[in-house]
Amino acid sequence: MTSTKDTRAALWAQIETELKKLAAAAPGLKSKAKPEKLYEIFVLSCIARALRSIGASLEARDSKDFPTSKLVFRFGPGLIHSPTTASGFVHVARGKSNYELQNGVRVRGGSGVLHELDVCLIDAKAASKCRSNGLEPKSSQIRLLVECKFLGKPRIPLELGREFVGLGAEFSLRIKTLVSNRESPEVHALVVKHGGTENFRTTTLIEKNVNRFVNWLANELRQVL
Amino acid sequence: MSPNGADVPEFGLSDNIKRILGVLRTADLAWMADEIEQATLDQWVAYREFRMSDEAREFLSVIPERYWDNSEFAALAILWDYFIEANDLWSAAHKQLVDALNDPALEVALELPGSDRAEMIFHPQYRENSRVFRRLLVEAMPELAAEGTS
Repeated sequence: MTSTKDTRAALWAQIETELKKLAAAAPGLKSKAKPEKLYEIFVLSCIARALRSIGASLEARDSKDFPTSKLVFRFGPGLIHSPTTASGFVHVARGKSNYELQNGVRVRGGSGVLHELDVCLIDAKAASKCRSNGLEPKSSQIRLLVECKFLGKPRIPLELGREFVGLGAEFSLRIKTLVSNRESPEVHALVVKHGGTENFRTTTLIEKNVNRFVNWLANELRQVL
Repeated sequence: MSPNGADVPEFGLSDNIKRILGVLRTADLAWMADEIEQATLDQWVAYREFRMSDEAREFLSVIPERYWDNSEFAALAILWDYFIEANDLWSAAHKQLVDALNDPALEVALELPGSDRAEMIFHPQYRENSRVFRRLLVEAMPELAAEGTS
């Protein structure tokens, strides 16, 4: 008769064998930055879904603002007026207003310091002007700011909460939120106390949390767009 | 021996975890191995503090129990995050963007700054090839499957 211990050992042996195969087939995991970028793009796609649900029409654009059927995201912070560092984006039209849903773009905060925003929604006219004149968008031109944290560790470290509060102080916005696959009651308390919001445990593993996040975004976006 | 009289185990990685760390380091995934090692150490520290202080107990009560009473779970959960969840995120992002932009032909790519060549994140057959690994991790962590329905 096979003992529980033997069964467990056999399971770990299988895990080890499969891990060897998969590690070779996932070049994107060689750097920790890549899974983090995938999470940002996932969160951006949730925002696109929320915008669609409130009647906006969306179109993919390249970094020069031309319609495209290939949406390219880039690693590292991008300058909106630099086509080789800026990502493509999603052009958003709602009523008579237009916006750009951007990833990893640098924006000038209230202090004048440039900050890379994981995901943000910018007034399209202002973004276009920045692109033409070699300028950075300003905090007053931002409608939504989302910081994304994809973590392997069980809890969100407190310093990430402090970092988000500092960033939030640079942007007077209704919608500024910290999204993560993990959670932390301490970080929740800190963020909420300082006028931000969180959407923790947003992971494809828990579909209802993804839906909750999208619904929350849709309600918030209805108020500000 | 802790002040409350309970034994506190010495910190140490299980042989199972050590073998996994070896696989990751050989595959040039040292950063992930380090993260697993740190997570298991963190859970041990949390466990030790839990046993030693009422204040720590209150503080630690917010940590899901599985993370402080089972270092192997913490290690497997990290493998899930990077080898399964990351791929799921990429697929879900693509699907949500295709739907939201109403463009079935939409491609989504990742590129380095200054490059016009898409980075390969997962090999094309990765999803198919990861099915066995996904099943094994769920078998090793039934709590994980339950979480999706919690």
